[in-house]
Amino acid sequence: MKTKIFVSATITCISLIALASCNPQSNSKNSTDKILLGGVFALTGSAADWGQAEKNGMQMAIDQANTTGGINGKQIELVSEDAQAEKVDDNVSAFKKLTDIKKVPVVIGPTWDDAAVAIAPLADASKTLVIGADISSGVEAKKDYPYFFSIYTPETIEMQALNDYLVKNNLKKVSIVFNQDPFSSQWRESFARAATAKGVTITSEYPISDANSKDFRTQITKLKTQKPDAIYIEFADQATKGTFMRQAKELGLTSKIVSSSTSETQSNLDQYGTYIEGLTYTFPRSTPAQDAFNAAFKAKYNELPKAPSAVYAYDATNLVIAAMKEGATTGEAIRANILARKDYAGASSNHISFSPTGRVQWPASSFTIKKVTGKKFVEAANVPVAK
Amino acid sequence: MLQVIANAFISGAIYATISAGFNLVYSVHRFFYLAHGSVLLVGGFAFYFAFETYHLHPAIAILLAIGAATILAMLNEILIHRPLRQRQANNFSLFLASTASLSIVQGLLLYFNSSRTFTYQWPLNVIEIATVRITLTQCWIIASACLIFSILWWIMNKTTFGKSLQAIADSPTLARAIGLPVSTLYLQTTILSAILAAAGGILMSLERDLRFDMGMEAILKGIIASIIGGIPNVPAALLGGFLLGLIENLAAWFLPSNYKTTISSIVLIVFLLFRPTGIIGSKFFPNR
Repeated sequence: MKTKIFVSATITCISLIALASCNPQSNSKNSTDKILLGGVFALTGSAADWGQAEKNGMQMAIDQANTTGGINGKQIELVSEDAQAEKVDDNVSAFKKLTDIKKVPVVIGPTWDDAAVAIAPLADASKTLVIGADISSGVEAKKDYPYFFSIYTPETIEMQALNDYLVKNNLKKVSIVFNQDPFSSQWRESFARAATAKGVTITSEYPISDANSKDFRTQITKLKTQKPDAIYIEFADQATKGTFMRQAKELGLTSKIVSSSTSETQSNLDQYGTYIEGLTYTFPRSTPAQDAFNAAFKAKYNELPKAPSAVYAYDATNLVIAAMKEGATTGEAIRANILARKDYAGASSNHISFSPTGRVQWPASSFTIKKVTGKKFVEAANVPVAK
Repeated sequence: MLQVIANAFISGAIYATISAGFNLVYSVHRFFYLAHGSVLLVGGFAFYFAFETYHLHPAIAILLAIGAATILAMLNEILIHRPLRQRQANNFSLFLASTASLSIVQGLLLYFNSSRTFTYQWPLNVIEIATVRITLTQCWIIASACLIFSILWWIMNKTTFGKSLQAIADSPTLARAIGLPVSTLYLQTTILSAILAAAGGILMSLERDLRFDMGMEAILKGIIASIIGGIPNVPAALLGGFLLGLIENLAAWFLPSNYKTTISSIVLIVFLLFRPTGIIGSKFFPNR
């Protein structure tokens, strides 16, 4: 009898706990007292460095706003979901949880393009403003989704800056090695278009379909015989740049290796410091606001961001908070408010504006060229003067 | 072209070592032991941490890697495969359990190690012979593979243990009838394959770094190499591994680079359809 009572009591307790946790109204007090902002980030999986950096950037913006009174007196709370970049279904579920149950007007994320391709139509359907912190233009290459924005470095303009550098340094015969995932393919596309416009010749291309491939020896052997002036590389997993450069050095490839701002991650430096020596890449020009962001980030998390996307998540969150302070509370109103802003002074750039399709626009002068030298990311020499 | 062949030898040495372990388990247990990929990963990670992080002597790091891989393989055998066999589970159930085991280990590695890529940081010691450039590490990889295969060939052909394994591979029922301790031999095979997995994991990590999710890709290469070479046969695993390395590298040289994986898959299907025995092995899917 005692056993039966114990079992019944246990089942009742578990059921009550389960019911309480499933009930979306269970934290209704929090919902009315706080303004919820959503985030879908890859906190695990291959994009974890990027996702964690974005979550930290968003959290920092929210904490800073909360210390100065939040939004019109209400505190802001980040409701974030972990969804690995490779698992598109998990990203969709996470997004629906935030929009259908938590009813957030804005979501920052997701991490990387594959997930964004799935979420962009859902953003339109639910009229939830989604701002990607690391999303390339490739996601909306075929169709514009009005509620899907990307604040990540505009790769078309960045690749113009890289080609200006190649021309100035007389590196006019270039090969491309890239993964065929949506993100890397979009960067390759932007690089090729800018190269054609600037008079740089693409002599050969090596698309790599397997994003996990770590063996480039045959392609490098072939590149050695072709002797291009420079090789543009772009991979889905940024650590692959280190693997490629190590094998290039082992095989005696002497062409200059160039890439994009995705190269500057602390983990790349930690893991491949000696091997990525000489890697030359575009990067947003340092501004006092960005330096202040990095200092504040380090003070809060005891380390610099592991991926460059932290600052974009930070700026995206601040834009949303600014819009909400002006009375915009729905996804529709926040979207209109952000679109109307011109030359917003953020930490990533002093001149943040969005095109009507929701893509961030920067002047070309926002970029400089950096290089890995002595296990450090430093400004490269002979960089074209900013106009 | 000489460099491409050298590249193929390096890949081939790794594939052959992975293939040998898979080949051994398949010939005795007769199911697709995908968990070999997880044993390999654990061996690779154990070596990495012992050697690169804690700077232990390479010999001690190798022993630790073998120990870690063996413990995992024995846990797989004792906790999963043996109970399933005792319940008369068919090979498909064993295969599914083995796939689940691989997935669990990769998940645990992700949880404890994060998704970062682990790489060895040592100076580039490059040896240049004619037009071929090869690093000292790669020389070690090829030499280690040759040593491993020599020892394996001796075990399989010159020891009672090896001959007992061949008897089980031919017919487990007959092996039991003549009094061979089949369960013990199953466990010993698992341990031997774990040693080979640890070796494969170490060699792979030296050349291609380490990530939590490399197990499945590695074991697939091992399976393709086994099918090309043939089962159950030590020289077959060696031949299969080197041929797979050669096919992949030649495909990358002569065809657009994104067809490298496709070509090895086509070769796999061609062998399954037209040469299921592999080049020097016995029939891959025996009718028994």
